[in-house]
Amino acid sequence: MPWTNSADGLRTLMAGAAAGVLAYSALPALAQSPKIGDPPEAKNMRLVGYNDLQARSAYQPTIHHQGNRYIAYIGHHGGTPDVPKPVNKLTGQAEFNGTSVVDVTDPAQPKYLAHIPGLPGNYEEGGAQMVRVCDGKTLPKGDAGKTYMLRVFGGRGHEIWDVTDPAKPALLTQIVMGLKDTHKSWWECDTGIAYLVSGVEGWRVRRMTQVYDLSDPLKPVHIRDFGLVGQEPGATGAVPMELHGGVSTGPQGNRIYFGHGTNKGGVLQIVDREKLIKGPKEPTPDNLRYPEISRVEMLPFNGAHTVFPMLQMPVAEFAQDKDGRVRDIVMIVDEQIRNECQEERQIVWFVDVTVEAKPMVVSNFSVPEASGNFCHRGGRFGAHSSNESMAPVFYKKVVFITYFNAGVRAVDVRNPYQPKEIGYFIPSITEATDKRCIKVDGQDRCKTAIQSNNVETDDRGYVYVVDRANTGMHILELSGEARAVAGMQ
Amino acid sequence: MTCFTASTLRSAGVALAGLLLAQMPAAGQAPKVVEPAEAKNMRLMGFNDLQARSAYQPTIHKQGDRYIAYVGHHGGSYDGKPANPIKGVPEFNGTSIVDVTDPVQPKYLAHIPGAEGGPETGGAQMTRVCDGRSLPRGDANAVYLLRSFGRLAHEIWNVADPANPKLVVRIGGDYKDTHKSWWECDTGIAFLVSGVPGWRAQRMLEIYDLGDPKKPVKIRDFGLPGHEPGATGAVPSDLHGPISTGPRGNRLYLAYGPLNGGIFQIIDRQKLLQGPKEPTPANLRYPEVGRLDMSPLHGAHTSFPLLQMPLPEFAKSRVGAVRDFVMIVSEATGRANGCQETHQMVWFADISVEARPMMVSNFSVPEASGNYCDRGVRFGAHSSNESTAPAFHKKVAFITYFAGGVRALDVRNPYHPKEVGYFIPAMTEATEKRCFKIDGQERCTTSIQSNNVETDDRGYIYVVDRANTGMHILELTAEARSAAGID
Repeated sequence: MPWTNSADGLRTLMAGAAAGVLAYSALPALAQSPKIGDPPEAKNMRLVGYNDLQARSAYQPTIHHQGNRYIAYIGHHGGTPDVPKPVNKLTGQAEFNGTSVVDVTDPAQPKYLAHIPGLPGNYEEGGAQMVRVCDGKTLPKGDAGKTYMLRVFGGRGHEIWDVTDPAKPALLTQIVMGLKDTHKSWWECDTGIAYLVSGVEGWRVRRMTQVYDLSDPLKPVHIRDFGLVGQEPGATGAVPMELHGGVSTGPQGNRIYFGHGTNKGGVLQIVDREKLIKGPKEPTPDNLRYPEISRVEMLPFNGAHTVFPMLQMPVAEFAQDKDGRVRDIVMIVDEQIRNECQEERQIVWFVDVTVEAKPMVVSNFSVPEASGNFCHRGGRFGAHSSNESMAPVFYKKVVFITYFNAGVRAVDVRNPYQPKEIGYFIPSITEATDKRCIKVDGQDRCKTAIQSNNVETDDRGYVYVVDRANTGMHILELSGEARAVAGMQ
Repeated sequence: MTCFTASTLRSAGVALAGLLLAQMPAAGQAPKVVEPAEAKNMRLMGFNDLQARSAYQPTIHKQGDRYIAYVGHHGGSYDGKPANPIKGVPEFNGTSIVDVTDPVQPKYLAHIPGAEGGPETGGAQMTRVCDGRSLPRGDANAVYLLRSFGRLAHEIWNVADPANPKLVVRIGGDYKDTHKSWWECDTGIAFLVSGVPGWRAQRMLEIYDLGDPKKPVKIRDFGLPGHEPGATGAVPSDLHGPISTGPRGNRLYLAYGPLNGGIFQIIDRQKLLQGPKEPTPANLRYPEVGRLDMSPLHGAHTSFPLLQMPLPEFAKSRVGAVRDFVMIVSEATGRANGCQETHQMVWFADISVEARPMMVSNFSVPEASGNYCDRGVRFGAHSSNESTAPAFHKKVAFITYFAGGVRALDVRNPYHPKEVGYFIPAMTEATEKRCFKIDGQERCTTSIQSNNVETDDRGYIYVVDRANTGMHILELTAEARSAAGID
C-alpha cells in the first residue's frame, strides 16, 4: 500500500478506509448522504494517490508528460461565500481559486507545486476553469525549451503561461480579455490552432468559438469567430444554444466536433476544420454554414457537454457482416446541473457518424439510480464529463465518465452499440467537502456528497478525477477484470 | 394431409412437452431438419404448416367466440402453385385462414389464392381484419379481411364464415407495388401502402375510407416530398408501412426504407385526412409533426408506438419520468450467405418532444450466441408484433429475427431493452432453400426464417416462416412471464 504519504488530506481521506483493501465490492445503497469517515465505494477501480488541491472546487485536470515528469494542471471554479480565498499553503497567502499545478510523476505521492490565482468571484463567477498544455518543441513557432499552459481567466479572457518550471509559472500573454464568458477550449499542439470558447461582445450568446493561431504563444493571431447560424451579431429570432466546447482531430482528421448546450437543447455539430480555418471569416449566415458538415439535434431536455470522437472502431459484433463493420462514433456526455434530480436525468450518448451527413444516436449509458439511491445523497447526480486523452492505453476501449455524486464510472466502449459499465470509484467525502443545497418550502436544505466533476487519463493508465465540491483530486487505476478490457496486465 | 397438427409436429422433430433446449447449441453450420427447436423462456403450444407456403403477415382476429389467424403469403420461390389439400387443386400462394381457438390444435380452414408470381411479386402478403359491427357502415353480420393482391391491388373479403371467404371488392389493379397497410376498425379509414401510377416511389400511402367496405372512397395520396408526380431529384426512401393511433391519438407513425436509408415520420392524422389533398410539396409537408432521418446504413420496417411509458429509472427526477417512444425495426436482407450487408436491428426512439425525436437505444441478437451468420439465408431483425392488447403492450415486444427465430424483449425501460426469451423453430422437410448469387456463384442455404409475428389478447404468440416452415404458436414461460405480468 502506497499510503506512507504525509499529506494531511490523505490521512483524513483514509481515516475510514480499511487498511489493505480500500473498496467495497458492492455499493451500500446509502439512503442518506454520505458521512465523513465512510470508506470510498468502488468496483474494479483502486485509489493510488490523492491531493486535496487546497480544498478548491476543481473543473478540468490536464495531465502533461513534461520531460521525464508528469504534471497535472487543474483548473478551478471560484471559491465559496464561506471561503472565497482559500489559503495557498505554499505561500501562506489567501488566493482566489485559479490553477493548481501538481507533480504526479509518482501517482502515489503527488506533490503540489504551485497555485496560480484566478479571477475573483465564487463558484462559476470566478476562478480559471479550463486548462490545456502544449510543449514549445511541438508548436510550430514555440520556444523548444518551453512548456506552455493555455488557461481561461474566469469568464473574462484567455491567457498563456510559461510552465517550463511548473513550480514557477510565469504569465506570457493575455490573448484576449473583456469577454462575456469562457469555457472548455481546445488547443492543437502540433499546429498551434486553438478553438477558444469565448463570449465576444456583440455575439448573441455567452459562449461561441474564437479560432486563434497560437503557434507562437507570444504572438496570438486571431483567425475568426464562429458559432451556429443565428448566434452572430445582427441575427434575429430565437438564439441557438450556446457552445460548450469542441474537440479537433487536427489537420489529418480535418474534423471538429462541437458540443452545444449542457443540460438542454443539445446540438452536436460536425465541422470541416479546413473550411473553418480557411473559409470566409465574416460572420454571415452563409459563412457560418459553410464549414458545417452536419449536426445532431438532441432531445431538447438533454445537452451536449463533451463530444468525444472515437473514429474507425471495428465493432466485433458486426465483424462478419459484409458492410458496416467499422463505425465512426462520437460520444456525447450531457451535464447534470440541478441538485438532487430536480431536472431530467443527464446521461451519455453514442452517436454513429459513419455516414457524416446523417449522424444518428444509437445507444446510451447511465448509472442506475437505485444502485446507490443517488437522488437522495445530495448535490448533483448525473453525467458531466469524460476523459479526452486519446492515448492508446484506454482510447476506444474504456472511457471514464464523471457522474457527480456517483463518482467516476469506467465504461467498456469496445462495442459502442452496447456500452457496459466495468468499474466505478466514488471517493469518500472529507472535512473539505462543500455542501450543496436545494430549496424546500422556500428554505435551503443542504447535503454534502462527492461531486466528481471532471476526469482525465494519462498514457500510463492512471485516472485523475477531481471534485467540484472541494474534495480534491483522486488518482486511480483499473483493477480486476476491468484491466483486461483495456488490454492491461 | 387434412389434419396437420400431430403428424407435422412429429415431422418437425419435436414433442409437445419438454421439447425445448435450455441452452442454444451454437450451431456452427446450417441447422438440419432433425435438430430440435432452440428456446429460452418460450414454449411451443401448437403448429400448422400453412401448406408449406412462404408466410408474411399473421393477423389474429377474435371472431365471435373463436380466434382466427389470417396469414398473408409471399409468392412461391420454386413451386409457384403448391397444392391446397382441402380442395385438392394447386393454387398460387395467397391467404391462409386457420382456426387457432385451441392453440394446441390449430385447424386449417381455407386458402384464398393470391396473385401469380415470385416471392415479392405474387401472393398476398398483407392482411388486416375488421368486424362489420365496428365499422361505421359495415354489415353488422360480416367480418372483413383487407388484403393485398400481389403488387397489383387491394381486396376486401367477407370472412364471416372463415372457411368460406367471399370477395367483396377490389381496389386498384394497376399499382406498382403494395405492402404493409393499416386499417382502423372503428373509423374504417385505411392507410393502404400502394404504388400509385405516376408517383415516383414504388410504395407510398393511399388513404381510403373503407367505412362501408362495399363502397371504398378514396381520400388522398400521400408520401414524402419528392415522392409525388412531377418532382425531381433523388427519390426519398419508399414507404414500408404506417401505424395509426386513430382519432383519439391523432398520430400516424410511418416507416420508410426498410433495408437502409430509414426515415421515421410522425404525422398529424387529422391534418392528413382533412388537409389539402393535391400532392404538392407544401401539402405533403403540412401534416408532418416530426421526422427522424436514420443513419443511411439502417432501415425502418416497422414503427410501433409505445406511448406514455412511466420509467422507474427517472421516477425520482422532477421531470421527464414519463416518456413516449417508438420502436423501429429494421429489415435484414442478408442474402443466402448470411450477413451479406449491414446488421439490421431494433431501435428505440424517444419522441417525448415530437418535433425532435431522437434514437436512444438499440437491441440486437449477438451473432456469436448462435453463429447465425453461418446458418444461412437472412440473419437480423425484420418485424414486430403490432397488437396493443394489454397482455404484452409496453411490457414485452416480440421481434422476428429470421435465422434467429423470434425474440422476446422486455421493453419496460426502452432506454435499456433486454431480451427475456427466444424461440427458434425446428426446420421441417418443408423448409425451403434460398439461393442468391454471391460473386457470380449461386449459393443456396436452408435455415429457419422467422418472418413476421403477432400476438393475441390471450398472450399467445404466432410466428410464421418465410422459408415455408409454417406457423408456430408459442407462449412465454418462467421469468419472461413475470416481465409481462402474467401469473
